[in-house]
Amino acid sequence: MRPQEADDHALVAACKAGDRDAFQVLYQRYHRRVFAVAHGFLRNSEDALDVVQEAFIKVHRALPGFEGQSSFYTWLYRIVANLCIDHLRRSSRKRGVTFDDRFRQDTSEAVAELQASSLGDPSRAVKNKEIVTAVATSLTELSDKHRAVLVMRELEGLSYTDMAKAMNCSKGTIMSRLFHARKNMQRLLKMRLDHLPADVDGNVDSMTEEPAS
Amino acid sequence: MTHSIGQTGVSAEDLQRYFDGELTGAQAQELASLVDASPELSAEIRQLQRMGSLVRDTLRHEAQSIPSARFEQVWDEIEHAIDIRADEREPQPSLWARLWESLRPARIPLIATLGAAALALILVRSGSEDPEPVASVEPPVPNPVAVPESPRAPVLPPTTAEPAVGAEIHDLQFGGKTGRIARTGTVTVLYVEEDLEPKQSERSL
Amino acid sequence: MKVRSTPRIHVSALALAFASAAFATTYVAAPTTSHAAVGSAQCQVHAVLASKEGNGEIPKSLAFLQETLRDDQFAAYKGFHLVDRKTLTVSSGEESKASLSPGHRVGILLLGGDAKRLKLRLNLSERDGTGQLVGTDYSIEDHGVLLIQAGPFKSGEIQGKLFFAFQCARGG
Repeated sequence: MRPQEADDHALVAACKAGDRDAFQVLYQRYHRRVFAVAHGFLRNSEDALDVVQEAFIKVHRALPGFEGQSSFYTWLYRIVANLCIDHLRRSSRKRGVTFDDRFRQDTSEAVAELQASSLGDPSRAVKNKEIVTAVATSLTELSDKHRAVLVMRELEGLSYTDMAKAMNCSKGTIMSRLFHARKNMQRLLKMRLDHLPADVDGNVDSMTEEPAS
Repeated sequence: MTHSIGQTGVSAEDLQRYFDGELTGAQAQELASLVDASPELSAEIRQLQRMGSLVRDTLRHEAQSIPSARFEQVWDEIEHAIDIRADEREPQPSLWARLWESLRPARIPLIATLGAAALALILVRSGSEDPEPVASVEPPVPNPVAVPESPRAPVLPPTTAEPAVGAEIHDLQFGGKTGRIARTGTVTVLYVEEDLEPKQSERSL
Repeated sequence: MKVRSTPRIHVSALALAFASAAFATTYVAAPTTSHAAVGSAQCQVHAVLASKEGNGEIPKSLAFLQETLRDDQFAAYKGFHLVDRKTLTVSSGEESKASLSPGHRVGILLLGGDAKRLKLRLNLSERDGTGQLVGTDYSIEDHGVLLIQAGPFKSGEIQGKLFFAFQCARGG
């Protein structure tokens, strides 16, 4: 067990004994990561914050039944993913552009390879506001199902088996969805980023500055 | 439908499974050799890596853009929900228990004062300023100060105030549906028709 | 028989009166009322399922509605269940919004107020989070409750009517 996992288990034990501070430590440790997942799914900050709140409330209620067979975060993540899926099922969000889940054969020729030169090193590229906006907008334009598998795989590294359990479908369906999600995402990014020069770098500080509360 | 990558003979789906670590040991080794030997397959792998990094970094960047104060607000809501649930499991103390608890700083002086008063009363009554013996009627024993039994008072949050007048509606729109206002005493209710079947949460997409 | 008449020393009564006064001062003392203009307010939105089944008990989470739910308008309902609860800090500059678990979105804007009453603009969306179900400008006493009864709702095996309770209090 990794040190952080052992620490999480110690905190969970303290929470079960009624230590509110221990639960707050767990919240501080994971709230932004949970938000990143929820926001990836839902693409709405307030909805994502609602999920963060509901997830930790659910976790606190279910703590007596948590036996530590998985890591605390894995358990938390499953609760978050289920809440997001419930949320997506309830809401009928209308987007300006809708995409077919299937990857249309007639567009396969139009899917161009992402130009490595237009993006450069990803860790530097992400600091460019235009690229971040393009990625964020493209994520929003994916269908709920495609976005869900992309977030679960790319952000959380879930296996096909775990994703299939979360979405209540087969591994084959997950594989197909992920394949088409990546292809659609490539196409959307290509549309938005093709005009960029080879080496791009942006103002890092202005994007990471915390807004006034 | 299988999408083959160029002339490599490797399907895009198999390459994805290799990239995601979903192949068995032998299959993964075979794909690894093919990827190493093929610039086209290597380029595909690099694309998948780059896109994954972009998605990951963008989502993490979005998470960082939310002010800490907002998350603190969320924590307040979580704590409140936990407190409500704790209150529901434990019975609230009665009004008299709360009264007794609120007198904690004054308990000892109060008891001492009452004790001194009782002692003084006994001394006053036992001492006599009247030289003539009197056949006095035994004075009634003063009732000790006792907390009488009372029915359990309803528990209300301390910040709740009884509405004095109720809501006064200045403008009202029902968004195209039918609706009405009803008021009894200080209770104002807006009734609106939704025309929906009862909804239930579904888990799977 | 002569009954002696002596002055009674009501020490115990005085002590009790003193204690009562001390109790009243420390326990019941109300906060001083600000007469300044209302800059902000804290609003709580409760989504409640009212069902015709139940024993009439009001859960502690809805204790603040105890008197309201005894009103004749709710006489048909025997069970009350908290579905969701949100807290918003509202101000006059921008509408504060929240999403509720049945699907509705609520927006509240502070229009003004004085020492005793708040004036608010409330918007409640349809259940899919879009459009407008009801919008109202209203004034209400501090801590007062406005109720909106919406349509049918089901939570688990419990069926009933969904309604919303909006309670706002002056901010600091």
